Amino acid sequence: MIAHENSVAAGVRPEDLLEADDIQANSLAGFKNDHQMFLFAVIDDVAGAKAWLKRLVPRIATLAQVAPRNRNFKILRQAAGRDPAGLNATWVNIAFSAPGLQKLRSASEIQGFSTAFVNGLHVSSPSLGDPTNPVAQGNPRQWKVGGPQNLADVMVILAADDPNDLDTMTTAMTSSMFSPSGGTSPAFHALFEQRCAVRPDMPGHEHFGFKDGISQPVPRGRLGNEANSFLSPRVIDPSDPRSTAFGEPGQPLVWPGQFVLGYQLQDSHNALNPLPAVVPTPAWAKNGSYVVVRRLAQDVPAFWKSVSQLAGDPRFGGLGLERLGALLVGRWKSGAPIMRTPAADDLNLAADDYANNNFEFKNATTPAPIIPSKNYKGDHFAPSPSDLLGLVCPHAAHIRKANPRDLPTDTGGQNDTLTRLILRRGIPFGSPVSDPMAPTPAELATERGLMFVSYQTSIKNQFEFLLNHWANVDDQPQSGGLDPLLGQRFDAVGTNRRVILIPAPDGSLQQAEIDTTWITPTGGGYFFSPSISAMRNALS
Amino acid sequence: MPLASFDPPASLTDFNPSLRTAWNTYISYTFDQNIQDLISAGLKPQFYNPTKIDTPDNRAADEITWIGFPRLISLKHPDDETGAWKEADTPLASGERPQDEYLEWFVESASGKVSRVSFTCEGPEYWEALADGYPHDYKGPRDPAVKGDRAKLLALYQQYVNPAVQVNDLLSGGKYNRLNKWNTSRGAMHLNQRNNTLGAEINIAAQATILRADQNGQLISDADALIQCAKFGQPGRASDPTIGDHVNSLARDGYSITLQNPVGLYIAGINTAGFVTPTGSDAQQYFKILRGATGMTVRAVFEVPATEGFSVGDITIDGQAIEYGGQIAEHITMKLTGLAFGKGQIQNPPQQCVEQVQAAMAGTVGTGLRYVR
Repeated sequence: MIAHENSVAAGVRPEDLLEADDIQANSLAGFKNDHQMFLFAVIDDVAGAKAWLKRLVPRIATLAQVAPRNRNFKILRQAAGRDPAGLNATWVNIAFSAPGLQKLRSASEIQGFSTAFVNGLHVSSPSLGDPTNPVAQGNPRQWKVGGPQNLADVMVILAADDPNDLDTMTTAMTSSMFSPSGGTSPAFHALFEQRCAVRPDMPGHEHFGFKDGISQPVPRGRLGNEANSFLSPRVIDPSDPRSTAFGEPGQPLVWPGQFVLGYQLQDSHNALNPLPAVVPTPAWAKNGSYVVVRRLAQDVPAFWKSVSQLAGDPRFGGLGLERLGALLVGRWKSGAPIMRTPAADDLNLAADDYANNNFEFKNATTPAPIIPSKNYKGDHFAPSPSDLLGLVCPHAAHIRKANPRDLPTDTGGQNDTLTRLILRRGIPFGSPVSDPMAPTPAELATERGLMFVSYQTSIKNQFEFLLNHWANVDDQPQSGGLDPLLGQRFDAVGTNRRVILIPAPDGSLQQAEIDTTWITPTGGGYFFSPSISAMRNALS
Repeated sequence: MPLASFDPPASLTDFNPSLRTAWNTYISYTFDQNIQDLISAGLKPQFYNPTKIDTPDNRAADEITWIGFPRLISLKHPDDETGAWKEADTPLASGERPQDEYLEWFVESASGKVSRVSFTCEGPEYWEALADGYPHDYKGPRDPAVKGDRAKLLALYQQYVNPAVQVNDLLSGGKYNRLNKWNTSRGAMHLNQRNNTLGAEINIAAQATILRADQNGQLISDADALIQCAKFGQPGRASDPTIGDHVNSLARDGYSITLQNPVGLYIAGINTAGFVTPTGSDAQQYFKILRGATGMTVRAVFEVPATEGFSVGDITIDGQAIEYGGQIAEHITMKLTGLAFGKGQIQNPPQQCVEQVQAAMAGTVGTGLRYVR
């Protein structure tokens, strides 16, 4: 059977034609560059801001520009075994908060946006588990941006492969915003800026040391009408029923309306066929996305100190530091999933993109046949077993909480879970700690963490849901504790106590108590990333 | 050794010894009947009665959890939370509450604000047994010496619902009435929604141990597809499909499965993140367990002491003032616990879906369905 990459599988509706010239790139394609700058600003002069925006629009990176470049980059990197030289790209995207949009439009029109967005991240903060004590570190009053005293109107994201290019772009952008030449007064003033970079010592790994961003939902949709025009590649052989539901093995296909307004939506009762697209209010919001930004500070020594304390607990004797860390996350530092390799890390499995995400939790999984054109040698790694009871991967392991896959959940199980997924476009900031068990004074004095960025069309039912239904709850989607990384439940004295069930060497589930906070929110916001045409017309 | 006897839900101590024995008889009979019904239908349930069959020490416990707010009502009001809350809080004309995730509640107000919300997940069977000796739907052998304890029944209603309750209010035709006014318009002593019963819980658990395959012979593992195929419980709810999903998954893994003693449905807990009080106090403290224990609660109340100077209606959840009990129910997790042993030891062939069997028996051909052999 000849497998075409764009053949419509039997029973699946035709996929949306994406208006790729109108959609900003970071939602559906994502900036995959190693260096990014986030600029947060306040609009002081509306007319000036509009004029500035009008001039910026032609330079904003679109899906049409970035998607093909990402694809080429990946092909070339797979062929060469390293990043291809000379393919340096620089990109710009922009998003606005509700106060920002209100300045450019009107208060009444902005009410058409979602309540979560209009209120802002700082208002949702208590329901996300952030400490409510105003002097506590993670409380919005302490945030560097996005707290009630420092709300941003606009966020500009700059991305580049070469840090020098990023410097150049940043200088040009900040000048145009905050100190334009020619005697014009600036339309904005700067609130905060965050320089971010992929870890030079461990590319693709976040600061605790774990490979990040392996599992993303894969948006359905086409970039054109011709063959091979799916935005996201379909690599599973059509002979396997999973080919209709997954892009790569373990990457579920999700209708694009979940990430960009105005496209067909995922149906919580039907994995394959969509709900009709909804015309957004206001209509110019079409092709836009909500963007959630959370500047998360990470205490790397504290994380590994907690893990080593667990390793010293006689109930977990013999597991060791690396394995206990892997049990908390759900993957080894390499990215290899513990569901497929519970006892030891496996770098070959981690490097295999068709195997490192091919697992479920409830049902045992078999390898997926890949289309011949990929020349895939086959998935010969141990398949993952059924693990409803959390005896292989803890119920509360981070990746199990953030994406329960085929598990039953409080809101309906695997079909419903597909409606909760978000596209993550985060990137680390700060310099790494080279030995977390022996951090240097210089390392301790500097801040590091993750600039968490997600794209979705419902902040409440997607981003917030993942935190307040699953990460921060002991018994959802299954009973086993809070997400040890993201979970927050501060008590009256400010302790964030998480108790999670971990499988012990004797096969029993044991409670592990963690009292240290490893991740602290230190800024962010809810933004809206408008379409090119909206910025050209409605907003400028 | 098998379990000596089934204890009352949450190990409550309302029953006198005679009623305790009768309760064990009732639960055991219900287990056995469900198993027998499936066997009589030619099926091989992997569900067992733990007072008849021993559960080895290396059993696995599976905590099955769901949210207490009726999911079917949420789905009817996709972008209209208030509409959903309003519908969930409005009883039917008969007094039956449309709260069908095995959690029900009763809202009291003072000065136009919600002042107290009472939550219950006690099955009606318990109260019929307390009043009349055995639950009304019990069809097994009865000991004529077993009599209801009407004094205890009245005392509990007076303690938890209203001191004004009279025994005759609770009866109809001399027998206990689940839909008496103190369990409908004047309060919620226990569950009154027609599907919220212990019998339903046992029935779903038993039925869900039957493996099912679709017309292509593929094992069904999706929660809603399973419930539609096997025709147990109610599709689209949060509870039944989840219970079925868990139990069926264990069955596919070859386990023998039962329900943990004490058999019941429980409030696991409440998550008050996002609850903001006028004084900044921790809202968790206002959720008080009245019957049962932490993690195995059958009655609780959400109420603010008068000394605090504000009431439940002054508390906001995610920015919205509490006007409906359902707003709180959305943050309550329900649970029941399954026990399983003997992984991989049973390998039953999957069965066809109920409709396919019916179609075959009715002689329907040409539907294009292929049957599993």
